[in-house]
Amino acid sequence: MSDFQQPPAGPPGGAMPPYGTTPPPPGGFNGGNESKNNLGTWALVLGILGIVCCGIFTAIPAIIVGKKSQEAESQGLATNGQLGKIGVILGWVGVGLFALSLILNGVLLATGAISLDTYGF
Amino acid sequence: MSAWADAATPGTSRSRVRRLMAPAAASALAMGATAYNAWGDPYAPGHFPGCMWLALTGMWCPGCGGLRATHELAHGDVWAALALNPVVVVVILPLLATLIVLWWVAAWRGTALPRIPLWLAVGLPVLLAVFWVLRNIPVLQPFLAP
Repeated sequence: MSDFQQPPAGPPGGAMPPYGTTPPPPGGFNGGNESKNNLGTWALVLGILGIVCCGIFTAIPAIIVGKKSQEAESQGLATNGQLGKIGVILGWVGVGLFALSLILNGVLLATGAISLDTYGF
Repeated sequence: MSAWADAATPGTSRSRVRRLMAPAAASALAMGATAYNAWGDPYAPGHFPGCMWLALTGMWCPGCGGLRATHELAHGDVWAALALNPVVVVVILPLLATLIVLWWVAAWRGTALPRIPLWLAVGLPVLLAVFWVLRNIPVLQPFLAP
C-alpha cells in the first residue's frame, strides 16, 4: 500500500484564508475565549479612578485599554467588550472635564480673575 | 505596550513569582500612598495638588474629601471619614481593596480576574454622577460635602 502516503497539501500559502478574515484565537482554548477579559476589567477600574481622583492620569489609559478590550472582543479573545466600552466612555468624560477645567483655569489666570492662591498651594 | 499585554494575559505559562509581581507592586503603591497620606497632612496646603474642578467651579467633585477621608480612616476616625466623603469610604476604598485581594488570588492560581457584572459596571458611574449632583445641593451639603 505505497499509495497510502499523501502528497503534501498544496503549495505553501495556498490554503490561506482570504485577506481580512479574523484569525482563529491562538492557543488551545475551546470556544468562549476569555483570555483577554482582564482588559475590560482594567478599563473600568481606570475609568472610575479617572473620575474620582486621578484625572487624565488614569482617564487616558482607560481609553487605550478600553479600546484594546473592544478590539479583543471583536477578535474573539474576550467576552466583556461592554466593560471596555464603559471604560472608554468614562475615560473621555475624564479627559473632557480635565480639558474644560484646564482651559477655563488658564483663561481665568491669564485675565487675572483668579490667582495661584486659589489652588491652595 | 507589552506591560499591558502581560497584565491582560492570565499567563499560566509564566512562573508564579512573575505573576505575583504586578499585584505586589500595586499593593506596595497603595500602601505607600496610604502611609504618605496618613503621616502627611491633607488638610494643609502643599502636600497634595488641589482639585482643579473645585478651584474653577466652586463645586465638589465625587472625589473631593477623599484624601482627607482616607487620612481619617488611617487614624481610626470612621465618623470623620464618613462625613468627608461617604462614597469613597463606603464604596470606592472597599472595592479597591477587594480588587487587590482578587488580583493576588488570580495571580497565585494563574487564572483570570473574576468577571465584573454589568450592573456594577453601569451602576458605579451612575452612583458617582448622582453623588456629584447631590453633594452640591445646599440642603444636603452638611451630610455629603467635605
